[in-house]
Amino acid sequence: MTRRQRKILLASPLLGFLALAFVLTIGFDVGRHDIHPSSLLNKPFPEFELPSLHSQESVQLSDLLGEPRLFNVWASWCIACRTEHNLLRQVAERGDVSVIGINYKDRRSDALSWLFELGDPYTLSILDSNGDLGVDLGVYGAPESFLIDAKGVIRYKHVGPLTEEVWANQIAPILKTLD
Amino acid sequence: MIPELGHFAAILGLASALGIVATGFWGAFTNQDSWVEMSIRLAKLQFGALAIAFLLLILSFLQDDFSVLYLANNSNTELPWYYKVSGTWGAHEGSFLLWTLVTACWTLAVALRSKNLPLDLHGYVLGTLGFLNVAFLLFLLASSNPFDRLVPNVPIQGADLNPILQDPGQVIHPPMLYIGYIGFAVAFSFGIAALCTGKLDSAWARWTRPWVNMAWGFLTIGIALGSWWAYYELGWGGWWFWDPVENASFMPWLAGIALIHSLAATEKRGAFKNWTILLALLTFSMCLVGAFLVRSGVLTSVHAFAVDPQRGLFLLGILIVVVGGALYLYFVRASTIRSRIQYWGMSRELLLLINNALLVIAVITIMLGTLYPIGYEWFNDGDKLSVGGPYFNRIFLPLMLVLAFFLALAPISQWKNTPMLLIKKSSILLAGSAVVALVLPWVLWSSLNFGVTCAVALALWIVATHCKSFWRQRKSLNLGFVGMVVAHVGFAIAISGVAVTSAFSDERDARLQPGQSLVLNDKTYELVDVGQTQGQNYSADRAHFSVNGVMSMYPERRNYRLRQTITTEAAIAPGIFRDLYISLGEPIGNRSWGVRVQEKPLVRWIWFGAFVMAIAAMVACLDKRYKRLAKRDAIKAGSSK
Repeated sequence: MTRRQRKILLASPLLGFLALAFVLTIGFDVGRHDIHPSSLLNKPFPEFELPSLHSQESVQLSDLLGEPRLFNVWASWCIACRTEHNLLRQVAERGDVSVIGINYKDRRSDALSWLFELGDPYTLSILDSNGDLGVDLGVYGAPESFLIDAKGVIRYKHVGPLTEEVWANQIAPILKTLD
Repeated sequence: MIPELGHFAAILGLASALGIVATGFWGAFTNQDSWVEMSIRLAKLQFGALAIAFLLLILSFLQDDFSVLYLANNSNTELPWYYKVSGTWGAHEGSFLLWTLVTACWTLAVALRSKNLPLDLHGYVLGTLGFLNVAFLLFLLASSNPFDRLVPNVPIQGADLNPILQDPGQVIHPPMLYIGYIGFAVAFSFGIAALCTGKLDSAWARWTRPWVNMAWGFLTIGIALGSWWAYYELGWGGWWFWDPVENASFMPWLAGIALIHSLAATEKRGAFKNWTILLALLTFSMCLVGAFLVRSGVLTSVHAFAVDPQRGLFLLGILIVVVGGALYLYFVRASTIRSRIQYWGMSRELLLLINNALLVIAVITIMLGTLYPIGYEWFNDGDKLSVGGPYFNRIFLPLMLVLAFFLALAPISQWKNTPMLLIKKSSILLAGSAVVALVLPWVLWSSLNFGVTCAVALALWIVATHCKSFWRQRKSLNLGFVGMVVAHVGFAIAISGVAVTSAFSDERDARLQPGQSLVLNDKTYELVDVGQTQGQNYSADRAHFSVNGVMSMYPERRNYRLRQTITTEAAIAPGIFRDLYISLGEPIGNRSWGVRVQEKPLVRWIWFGAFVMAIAAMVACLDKRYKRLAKRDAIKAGSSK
């Protein structure tokens, strides 16, 4: 074996690893896109007809159109929802946008006592007890949030608890363009 | 207060790890005893600090302190105390704290057990291990701190531990797996040390071998426990799913086997030196790739932890620095290490080479199958794809049969050259085994299957050649040889189990009302009734089956209230030659239940074989020659200074 061949042989594990690292990096990239899947983005919010949490009157999507809305999927069993609750209350107090709660796979009494305990930032909460709307929205788990414009088109989707950072960098700028 | 103390202890662990890196490398570089002594002391400190951090996290679990975010997400007051303890490593943050503690354990073991090592080697090994734990602890503290508080809005109640993890098998599976994974970090560090010092002789191989055997033994037990757990807990009677995370543990396992064998050739014959180092580096690298796959959310699987992009990026960074750095060092330094010129006849060296080639092909096969979906998704704009069992089985199983064929020759082979007469004699044993393997399945399960016949024939042949050599050498046995024979017999047991279970398992699905029954093979399974029972944190439907009117079995469907999760608890009647397995499905309409009954012959042999292999690998470490020669090597190394 010549020196050069030997060199190439010894370098091959490193080159192989760099190729692997590339695959993992793009895999990681794909994984990240998965968190914000584009499939629903810029598509109309799915139609629904579900009871509201408080009055139990039927609510439809068309009732909520005409202004931007933030749909927030939450449940009383969801611990992560507690972490974003303060932020949602601030949003509601400031009147940045009207927040619509989607109470996901929950019991009505639990949901009501949860709001009683922690405060209610929602203009309105919809009862999605079976998770049917969740299926249409492709919900992975609570919490998730969807920002729609006045025509009901989804402009932004967030998986996991909302943070100050997400609000300032992602949602607030989009909200500005909608006004 | 307790979580803050734990957090502080973890930071102290990081500080001592940094100290180990500095003192270990500096001591090795300047050849100064006192610095290496210092790194040994720091290894003790690191272990103490991380053990305290871990105990404090356990204490927080026992106290139900839900102001800690990790606990709020993974515990609950209703959880029995033992699952509160095991909940500590039930999710990402806590399990990674355990991971760093295990790293500290191995570092401490190397620090204390390797006093006979040459100074520079010892320093480089400790420094490398310290470096790894610096990376792990930085990751823990920066992006996965289990001690983070959730304030204000402290929840009164936690979200409960994932119900499928509330199980004894799951309590010990992760620690075993981590001990195995990180045990390979010791081999990795020995590889790095050999590259740094440029010295690789049979003494080096002797020092490395026991560590590799121990690591591999623990990993084997960890994987077997995981498989056994999946078998009885996931409720559909499968014991291996080619799930990406299983593959992530299986690749270092296979590479570990290759490493054990190539180390034998390096120790005894000075052969494959470069290759052995590369394997030592790659085996641990695969453990890291596995950790990345599980914890970054690249792959979706039953095992995947919560997804957080920042974590994945951090882990990718660790992976690139550690593995990329190690392989670059290999590229630069490996040419200084030369193997002796070898004689290639029908020798034991050749068999070990075949072993390594087959195992490496197996690893590459599994790696391609695991990573292919990622590439596919990228090129096809988000379409998902799963390669799944058929691909792996088609390539992997034949490879293992070829491996088994050569394995049978192991005990009769000799270094340099093996007399043809010995090979001819053992081929008579093969013929005998083949005849038995043709008849036996027909007698026991009244059917024939090509794969089963091949596997059983080879398994019998392996047992025959090994028993014969064992008998021949009965007067001059050493534990190294005993370990080899027992491990190979364990392999034979495991492949018989795999082949027979895969080919001859039987199952029947039915819809039964109480009073109705179904027949599978020679047994009648009658559903007597379905009642309700209560556990500490779940309620369950519990069915009563009567098998042939003599034996009762009780499969359950549990509903864990807090997570609204349903798990199936299969009823299993275990046996040496067959398991009976009943799982209770959904209730269907009017008092009917979906029921699946399975009969799984020899399924227990798979785990028993794995267990035998693990014990054998550990027994081989106790071979006296490691102690005796270690002393001699130490004297030699001392006098050459």
